[in-house]
Amino acid sequence: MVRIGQDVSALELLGRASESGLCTYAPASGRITDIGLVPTTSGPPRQAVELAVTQDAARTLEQPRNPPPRPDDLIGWADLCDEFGLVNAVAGEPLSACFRQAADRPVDHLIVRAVGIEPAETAPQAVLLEQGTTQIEAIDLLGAALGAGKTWIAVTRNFRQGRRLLAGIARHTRATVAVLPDRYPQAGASLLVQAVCGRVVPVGEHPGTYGVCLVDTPAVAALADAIWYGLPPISSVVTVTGDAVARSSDYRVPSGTTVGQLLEQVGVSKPLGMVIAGGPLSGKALSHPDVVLDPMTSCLTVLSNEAMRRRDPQACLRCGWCIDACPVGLDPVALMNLAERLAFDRADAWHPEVCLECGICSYVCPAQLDLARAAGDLKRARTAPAEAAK
Amino acid sequence: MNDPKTRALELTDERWPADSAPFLRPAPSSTGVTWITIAAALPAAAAGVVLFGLHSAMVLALSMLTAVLANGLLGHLTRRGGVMSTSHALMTGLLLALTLPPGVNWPIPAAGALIAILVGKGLLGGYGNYLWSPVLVGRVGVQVLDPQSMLPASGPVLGRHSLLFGDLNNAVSNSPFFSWRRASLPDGADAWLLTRTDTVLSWLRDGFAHAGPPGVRGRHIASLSEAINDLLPPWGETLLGMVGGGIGETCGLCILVGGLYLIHRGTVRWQLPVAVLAGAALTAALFPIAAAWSEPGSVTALRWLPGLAFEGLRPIGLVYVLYHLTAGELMLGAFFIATDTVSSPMRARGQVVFGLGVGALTIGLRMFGIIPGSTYWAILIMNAFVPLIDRLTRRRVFGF
Repeated sequence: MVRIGQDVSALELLGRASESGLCTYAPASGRITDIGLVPTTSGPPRQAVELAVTQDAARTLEQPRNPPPRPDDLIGWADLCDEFGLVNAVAGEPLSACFRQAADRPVDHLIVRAVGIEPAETAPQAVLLEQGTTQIEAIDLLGAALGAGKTWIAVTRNFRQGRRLLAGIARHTRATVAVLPDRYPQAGASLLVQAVCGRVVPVGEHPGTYGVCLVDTPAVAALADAIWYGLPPISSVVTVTGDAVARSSDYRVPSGTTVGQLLEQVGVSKPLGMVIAGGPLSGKALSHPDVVLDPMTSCLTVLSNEAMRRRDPQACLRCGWCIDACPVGLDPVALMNLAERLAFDRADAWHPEVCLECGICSYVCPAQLDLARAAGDLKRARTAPAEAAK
Repeated sequence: MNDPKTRALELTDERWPADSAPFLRPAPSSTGVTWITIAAALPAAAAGVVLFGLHSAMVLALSMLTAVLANGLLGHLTRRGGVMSTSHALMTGLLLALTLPPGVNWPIPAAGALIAILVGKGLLGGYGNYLWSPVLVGRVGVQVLDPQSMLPASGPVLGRHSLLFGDLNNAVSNSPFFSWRRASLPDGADAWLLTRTDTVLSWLRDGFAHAGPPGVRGRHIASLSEAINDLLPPWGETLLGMVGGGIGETCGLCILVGGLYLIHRGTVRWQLPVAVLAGAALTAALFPIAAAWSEPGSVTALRWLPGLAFEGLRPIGLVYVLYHLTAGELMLGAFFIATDTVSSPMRARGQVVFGLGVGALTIGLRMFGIIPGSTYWAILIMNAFVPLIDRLTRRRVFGF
């Protein structure tokens, strides 16, 4: 939609993704210098626009404000979401998917996740606190638009600042606050749905087909901005944490910021050991600073070398801690033995496809075995052919 | 538009190291878990040295030293020295010494430790894979090699005034009517020669018609309480360890302190020792014993459910069961040997099954078996069932 060399204003439409129809808007004013693929924190390289930012703050576009669609107009809501480029990081898909799914299968439970994937990830809570009443109203409106039977706001017990306040505000709406224990892992789709409303969604299946709609607080916040202020999302909230970070906190980061730029702003106090997109248990190590933070990533962990001090793996003691710790009842030792023998065909009875890759098995292992990696390998060996067949 | 491929490669030269999650590993290491067990076994070892004299300290040291040396040899022979944890060998040597009678000569702890490490740990699967507890393989090995010194029906304990420094060989018999605390040793003697509690309990199976020491065999005993009062030391003394037995077997209190520490540190699930004790208590309460008896050769009436026996208002059956729990090697086996992670089931549910089996077999072998060391044999038998138990107690996978 835009060309190299073109001048754009902040909030100007840059492009529309061909398959999903998601729109992207300029986070700042400037001149387009390049268009191509860039590496991102949450997966394969994506098509992107390179923008040389000018300090011309006056050049922001006035946004037209359209009245929001009627509550039961699901397709209208879906189109609105795509037009503003709203994404839902819990499901890793556009927010419009919730509405399109709701057209097929009525939503019994709408769950708004204000819980980070990992304990240190506070960005979802920060968004909820920052927006407060607006967020609650948007949740209420979202529940009405989806025709949800029950609306939940999932928080953890350690979210002390906001929990009571939230319950007080939510009393006047249709939303119920579900306070979950401080536990890891529980924020993945299947575990969260089971913890909040008791419904079992098998791992890997879409909650929508089980009548559950799962969204996170940044998605709701972006929806509120879109319907009430006509603003597209041009920034996201990211938790920057880890022992090598000088000022660890939740930061609002403009879209398209690279990890290197963010760390320059936040400050690094120790020599970098590892930079991780996500938390220290289930995140993905980043290999260079030019990776672009994308809206699916809400946590950046920077560890020094001494924090990651690793010991050599030893023989399995058969202590069974990994089995006790596994949130989905897998036997990580059995999976590791199968993976070591490359016995992928015999792994089916152990259900490696259920693995959440949360990393808790390796975390508790006293013998320092790479259980999580073995289980993840088996999972991919099992699920990759199935996906290729699709 | 640029070629997408070249665009993706226009990166700075700075590179960060990459690895797979998780990036933090704060859990205690295997070595740490082993050191926790060693620390927890120290009270029982100390009690053994105090009750049985400095000779038992030699037995402890020799067993541990031999185990570590044998472990080094094993690592050298298999060229897998790094995997053969030295601390695990130290722990094996320590626990092995705790099961040995205090008066054994030096070849026994050395041979036991050699068998434990070279056969129990090395040949039977290696560290992390062995089916039978190496400690017990070593213990059973020396029991077979030298049955005489390994299977005494009675054992010496140092007297009140000669603790720690006394000489065990200088013992006088004072069984079966005995209270360690109240009796005073004759001049010149250092130790009492006491009948083991589990031996006395096994006599109760069919009265003293066939077994028992000369003064007791064929005696008329009118009731269970008479048998307990006359033949067994006060229960408190069996808990504190002033009875005959292995170096670390007798002081139930010290074993309990160490065991609670293991549970507190999380290296042992509480279900396993509790299941062993519960299995033993239930079996002891169920198994029939002689109700009363008179002369040799006569048919003795059996009493079922002795655990429920009351004499007047006195719950004598409960006392009988408590004696079973503190007798012999049951406590040491329940808290320190059955809890070996490699040779016990992986999940709490399986450990309950395993523990109940160990407890029940211990009482069965104690009452009906012919070889002493019933808990050790019970653990070895149940060890063989661990793969089966593990298979039958798998967790249900989420969504299935």
